[in-house]
Amino acid sequence: MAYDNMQELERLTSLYLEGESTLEEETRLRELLASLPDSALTPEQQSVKAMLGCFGRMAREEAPVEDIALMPRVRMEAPRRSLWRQVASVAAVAVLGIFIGSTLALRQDKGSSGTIEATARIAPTTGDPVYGYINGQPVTDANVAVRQSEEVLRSMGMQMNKSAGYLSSFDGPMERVSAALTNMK
Amino acid sequence: MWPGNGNEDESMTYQEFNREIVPLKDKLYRCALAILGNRMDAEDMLQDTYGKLWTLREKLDSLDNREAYAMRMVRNLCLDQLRAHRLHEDKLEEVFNHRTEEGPGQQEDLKDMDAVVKRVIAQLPEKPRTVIHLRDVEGYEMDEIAAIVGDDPATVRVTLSRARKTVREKVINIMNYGLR
Repeated sequence: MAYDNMQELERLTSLYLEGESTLEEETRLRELLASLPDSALTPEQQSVKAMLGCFGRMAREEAPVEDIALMPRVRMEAPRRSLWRQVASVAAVAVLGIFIGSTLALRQDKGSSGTIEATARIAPTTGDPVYGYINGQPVTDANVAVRQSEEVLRSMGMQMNKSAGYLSSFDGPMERVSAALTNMK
Repeated sequence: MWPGNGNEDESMTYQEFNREIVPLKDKLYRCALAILGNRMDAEDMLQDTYGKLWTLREKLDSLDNREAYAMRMVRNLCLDQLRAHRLHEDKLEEVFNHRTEEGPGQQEDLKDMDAVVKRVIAQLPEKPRTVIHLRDVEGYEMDEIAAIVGDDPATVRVTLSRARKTVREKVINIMNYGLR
């Protein structure tokens, strides 16, 4: 490479990195770098060549739209919500569901003794109160209904904890390396 | 499509809009893509920007530099969206698959280096990322960039220099030691 070109390349690279180059000088720098093989360039010049080459290709990208709609659009996508808002929404729905369910299934009224008694639907065959259904079969035993409700709530809680547990997979790689090293000991 | 009601004045505005603003769509799209880092979001932003520009077409008449105004608008809308969605910076690391015009032998290397440069740029904060895009990809003068990002030209020059040096250092590191 000619000595003059080398000097010009160094000068233009320096101007470019200082933000002092004009657009014309940047064009000249791009041409100079493109005309030279990487082996003739310093690592600094190679990196600038990679940058300018990439920028040149990016500048040729076109918008992937055939036509421009000028009327304001209505977005059809659902609003994005944070994880906490999603969890809060699920929890609110769960609480509401339990409240409505318990209100409907166990309409409470006070008996003559002043205690709260649950009144439910009456099974047509046995005449016992029905507190709910498991696999289509009526549950007439209050203890069974309570145990089943506890089981359902426990299962929901485990699922929610499981979802939150997935967040730990986003922990940094150093933590995973640390854990792997601990396991090796 | 194009709205129009046959009104002569509005027809003139439409013609000016079609002649001066619509051809900016590639620049506006690339700017939105550089800020948002996501093609679908950038397409949506482009449509939103044109909808808003059309709504404000009366104001466009009185502007000296309509292109800078449009670029500033797309940037501000992108920033609003980023704030609204609280996008994490990691999202901006998406590496795009650009078309290249080089021969097939060089294609893979060029693609790799482009991916490296884009990855490094995506890790910059928004303002340096936008400034380096406006200068090195779009070829704007310093005073135009200053008008778009709302800084004075001297500040833009410093921001640009720091961004270029940061990208250069990281690209050198990746070339020497690979992706980390």
